[in-house]
Amino acid sequence: MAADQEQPERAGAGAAAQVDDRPALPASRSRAAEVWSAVLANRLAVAGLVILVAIALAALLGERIAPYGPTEIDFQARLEGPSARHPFGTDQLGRDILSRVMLGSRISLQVGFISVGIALVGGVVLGLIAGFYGGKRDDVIMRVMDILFAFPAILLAIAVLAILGPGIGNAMIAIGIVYVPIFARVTRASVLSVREEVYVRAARSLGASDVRLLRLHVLPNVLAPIIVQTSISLAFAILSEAALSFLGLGAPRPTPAWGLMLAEGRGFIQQAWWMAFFPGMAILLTVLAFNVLGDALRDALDPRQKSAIESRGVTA
Amino acid sequence: MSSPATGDPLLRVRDLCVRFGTKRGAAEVVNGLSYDLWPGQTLAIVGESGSGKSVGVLSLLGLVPQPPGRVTGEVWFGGRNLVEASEAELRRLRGNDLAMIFQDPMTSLNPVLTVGRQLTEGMELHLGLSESDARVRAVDLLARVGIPSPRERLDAYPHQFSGGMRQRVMIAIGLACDPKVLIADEPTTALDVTTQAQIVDLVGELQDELRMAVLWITHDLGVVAGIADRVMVMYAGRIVEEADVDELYDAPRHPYTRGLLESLPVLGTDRPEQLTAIPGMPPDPTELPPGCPFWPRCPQRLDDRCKTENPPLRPVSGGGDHKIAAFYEVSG
Repeated sequence: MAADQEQPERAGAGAAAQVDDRPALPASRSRAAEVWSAVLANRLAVAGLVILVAIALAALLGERIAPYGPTEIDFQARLEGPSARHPFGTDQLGRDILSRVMLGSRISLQVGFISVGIALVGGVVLGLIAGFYGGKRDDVIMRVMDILFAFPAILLAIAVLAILGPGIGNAMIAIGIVYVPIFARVTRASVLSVREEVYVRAARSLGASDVRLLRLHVLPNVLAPIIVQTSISLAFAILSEAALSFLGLGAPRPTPAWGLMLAEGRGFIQQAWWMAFFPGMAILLTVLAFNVLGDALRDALDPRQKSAIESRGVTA
Repeated sequence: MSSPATGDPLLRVRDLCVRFGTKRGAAEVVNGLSYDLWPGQTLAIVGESGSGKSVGVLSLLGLVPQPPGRVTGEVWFGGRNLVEASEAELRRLRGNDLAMIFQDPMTSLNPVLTVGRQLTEGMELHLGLSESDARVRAVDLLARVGIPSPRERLDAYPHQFSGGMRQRVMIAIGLACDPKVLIADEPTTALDVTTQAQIVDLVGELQDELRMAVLWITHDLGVVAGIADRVMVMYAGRIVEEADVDELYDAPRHPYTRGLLESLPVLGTDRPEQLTAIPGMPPDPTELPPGCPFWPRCPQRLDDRCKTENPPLRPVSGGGDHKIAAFYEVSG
């Protein structure tokens, strides 16, 4: 242990009254700040962040910065290639692809966040209950999750949409349900190890109730893998929405949605490659950005890496 | 002190048994513990790993999961039998009247919460203090257990403390609600020797100040000598010898206690080639021998009944509250 830590401790044993005027140790940085700076040290993650911020801006500002309206038809300019007037070209109705891609980000991000939100809340609650209590509750919850897991994701989403009816709102619910099992599993796996920790037993021995234990002692300690899973699931949810829109089960025409644009562009791929290329690129970049960020978060939250940083800090 | 003439014991334990159902049959981990803990007293429970000493105290607080565990017997505290108390009743007592500190200070603090948050948790829960009142008291407690700059340290995370400091924090958490009984489950085992001595002294000082009773579990007879009023030696879930601390060290009467004391190196004497060891291993709790559980390892075996009959705990000849569980006595 470092000398500067041992010193005040020994003094503290005998002279608890006068130790107060000793210099405090360097101000503690919060865990969130540590993780944040670790993410910023990763160049790929910064690139991912920049892309996401750009997409978020496009979604937020939308009509105000888009050069044309997303459904503005111009028959004079049908299937035009990329040019100064239409940087991403136009589609078969002469609509500006750039404007449509910019506004399409709205649907993609909305679907991503809302459906992952549904999956996150549902999966984490189920995973906490299953992992913490074990026994019958664990068996029932995890077998249901296994059944959901057994279906290919897109098939399950289509099945849910068949029940709920098509539409963007129902697509979000369907995608959310599809991703519940992943969150339940990730949460349960971490809870299984955390619930055996001494600090959980110690908190119990101090009179904490189950709800308190779960909220204050278990959940914060299983958050790392859940955060990572969230960022990766955001990417998959956006892909799923694109796939559902592609199949005509998501956003209705003429809504600007990347999946829908991709589907329409497919028919013109020989004459107008830009119709499919730019929405495809938008999907790719968004998914990539979320994945890169997820990787960086995982590294930043890894306790082994953290302890390496700490031990360096202590011996320095 | 060890045997106050007046009043009632704080904690009265009678015939406490803990069994665990395992695939190989029932493991009898604690077998018929009976003892009293008086206000201000320090009672040490000594035994080797697996002797049932930790499970014995965890069961006091209802912290042995049932199933697979099964706790029987009586634990009287404040007019209630804790063995039959509901989970809600127990929760009100835990950390409030009965506090516990654990063996490994490196793992017994939640790594993602500040020390202050963990200190104030119990106070908000049991004493109903507001957050700011609880923080004031937390600063006071940290200073009391010898943490320098307590106000600043309140917002530090556990990893910013050394092992000894963390154990001090754990003690502060244990003391947060002025417990009547502090249960210390090997609180010095994971610490280095200097820090051990500091923690032992600290608990001793705080005990005098706060008049609480301490139940100190350890396998280290050296620590016991420094802190305990009375000592119980456990073997295979039973008490094999119980006496005031000086009496136990000066005149152990049970062959197991003797073996334990002989296995300690003695400072200032010629160092022997090898320390004396007790041969063999403690018995498997699923297959306890029919007679004295120590019989297979006992160097004496002076009575024929040892192999077939389990000796009950009885007072030794001539000594008031010195008790052993053996058919014969080894003499000092």
